[in-house]
Amino acid sequence: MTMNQLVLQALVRVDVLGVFIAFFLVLLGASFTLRGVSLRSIPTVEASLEAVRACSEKGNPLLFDTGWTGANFWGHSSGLTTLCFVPATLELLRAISRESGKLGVRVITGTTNAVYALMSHDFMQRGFAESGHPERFIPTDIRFYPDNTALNLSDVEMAHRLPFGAAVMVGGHNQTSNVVIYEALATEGAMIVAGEIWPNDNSMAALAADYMSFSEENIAIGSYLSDDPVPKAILAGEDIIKVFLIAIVIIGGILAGAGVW
Amino acid sequence: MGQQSQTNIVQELPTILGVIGLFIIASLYWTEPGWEGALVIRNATTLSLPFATIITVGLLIRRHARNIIRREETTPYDAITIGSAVLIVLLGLVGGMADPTMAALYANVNVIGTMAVISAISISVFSPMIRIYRAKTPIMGFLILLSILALFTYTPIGEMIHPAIPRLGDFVQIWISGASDSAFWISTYIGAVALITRMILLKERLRP
Amino acid sequence: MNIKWKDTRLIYLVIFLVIFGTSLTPITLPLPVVQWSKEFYKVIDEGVTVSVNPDNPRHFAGVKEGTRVMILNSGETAKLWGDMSEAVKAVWTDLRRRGAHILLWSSSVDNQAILDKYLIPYFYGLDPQSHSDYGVSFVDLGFVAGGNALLEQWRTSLRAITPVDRYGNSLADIPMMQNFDAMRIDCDLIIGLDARGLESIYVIRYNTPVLEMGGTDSAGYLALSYTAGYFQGMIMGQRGGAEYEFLSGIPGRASAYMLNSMAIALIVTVAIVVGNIQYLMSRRET
Repeated sequence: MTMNQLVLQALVRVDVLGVFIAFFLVLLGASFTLRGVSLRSIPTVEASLEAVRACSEKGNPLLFDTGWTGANFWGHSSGLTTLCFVPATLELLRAISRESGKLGVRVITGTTNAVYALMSHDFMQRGFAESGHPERFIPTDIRFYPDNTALNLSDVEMAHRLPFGAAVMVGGHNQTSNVVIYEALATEGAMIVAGEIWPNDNSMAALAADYMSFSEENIAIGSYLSDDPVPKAILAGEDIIKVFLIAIVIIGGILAGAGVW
Repeated sequence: MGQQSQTNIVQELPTILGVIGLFIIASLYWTEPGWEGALVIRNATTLSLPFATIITVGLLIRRHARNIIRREETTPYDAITIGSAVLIVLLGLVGGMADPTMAALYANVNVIGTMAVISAISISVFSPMIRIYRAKTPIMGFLILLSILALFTYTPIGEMIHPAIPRLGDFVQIWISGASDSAFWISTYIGAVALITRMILLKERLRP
Repeated sequence: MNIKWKDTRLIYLVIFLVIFGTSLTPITLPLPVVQWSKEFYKVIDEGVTVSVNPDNPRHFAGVKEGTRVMILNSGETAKLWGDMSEAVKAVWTDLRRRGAHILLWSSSVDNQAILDKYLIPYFYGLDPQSHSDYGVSFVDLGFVAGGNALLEQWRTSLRAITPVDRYGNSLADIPMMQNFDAMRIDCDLIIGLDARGLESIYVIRYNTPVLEMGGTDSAGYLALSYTAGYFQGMIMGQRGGAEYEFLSGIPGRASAYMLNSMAIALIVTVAIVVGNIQYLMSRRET
């Protein structure tokens, strides 16, 4: 058996649970040792609040569209990633609702996930309550669509009819269908903030949106919105894992190049 | 004080239950064969999801009905939404997905609607290319060149100009895009583990 | 009529006219064949040895009479069909030509509907169950809920979880399914239609040969598993369809469709170049 077969065999047999526990312990350690670390800001958070202000100036509503974000049981990676966006996007919705409540901006949401639609209600209501204007929360502005086609067509229709002053599209859309909504929004002069789950959708955000952030950043939006130092320390801890993995890649590359492995 | 901590536990209950449920269902990926308890929880969760859909569809119909009652400008749209929802539900209740009318409607409305959106994607991708693709910065210029390379690689133009063009395009696709995609996903997975870590520490919640 | 030349809807109109015009006079154009397409065809034609798990290398001798092929219609097929259609038709034609036993599963109603509308009638007529191939060399499980968790369960027994096909026929009574149950050993080849996660379920543990088909868009995320050695080959988009038609000699429309793509690519490239020249000239003026 060759060296690389042995390594591969070992890797195959490392349980996913083992990897998770190792990462968890590193991040747990970071939550103590890296407290107080300062993080760079990410565009989605700042720009989303700016989007509310842009809507206030224009007197138009804001679109908060998370697409497929929510619990699903496809059981593979790209499906489970939509689950990771749930807490972050809901926290962002609360922050946007708080700002919108203060400035009197109407927030219209779009989701294809029924559970997420129900959860949106709680977070949005809380956000408007925190603004001091609970009466500005309109429950019927939480829009649920049974599938992506309906969401897409309805968003485009509203983008032209209302129109929206700005849109925050953080979540999962479907095989780049987000670009159809982006272009409808752009035609009406709306500001577009985007952060998609999947890379092919994010490439559309890079093409057409005014501000964008990546999947990993979007999962952490809640940490950026919080004043608590622990979540920020855990975020910084991710870099320790990345440095470790990069080191493995480099060392493995050198060993392979030298013919050792 | 006692009252306060009781309230906190109640507030954190959705997150605690979420983490425990997540762990049990995820265990199916590292135990072989999966244990019965995890299977039951996964199946129960999966079966409960349609009920949330029923509630939200009910809310959807209620909203459009209200619009009609208030004589909003969207009345035709509202009427079509309610009409089609009621029709589909009735057909589904009567004959299920195998019902020929249901199948014909699905094939000729849903599938065609989906294809319409997909067609719109292809046009909407070109739209920003023409609208905002200007070499205002070196990075933007590089992006434009890569886009043109891709256009030439995935159509016969590149091969007709020079065989090296599609080879270069394939190299970018297979190795550079493949590697960046890999980095993207690995970072996302690390981010996901960090999210779970925050949830275990109750620093990230499933209710406001 | 006052035409606004900056109206983006003009782009849509021009692209529609170009597609329509070029469809009227299809011409086959030269196209290079990318490595993953060559390997896709080679696996079907000659076979492959998979040894991702070095304990138990698995030799697959190519698709022959009775080869058990499972097609997992479990990705975004419904959304990508416009870009995948001709490739899937060409591969399906080849599988039938070689006498493969094809088992089809759809992971969603949408995915099932798209094949019901555009593919199944093409090969098996409007009543597939009555086709002479049904039960002998083709079985359709239809939409079965469960996603990849279902694939996990099917590793040990398909019939234990899914006892009937989409028409309610007992799998135990279907001739083709007699030796097609424990997917980890009974399935000779898996072809995923934009399917994800097959590496960890089948390849790493059992060395099952896996081929992937998707839209051009899918290549970005599937390439990773190909370069890592988990997928034995890939066919992506209409270009992949044209490549497969070339490699297999099966006549199809994908090659001719490349004319549409080429015309649109040329228009967009010209528009980008003209836009940038305009931009540079306006900068010089200011």
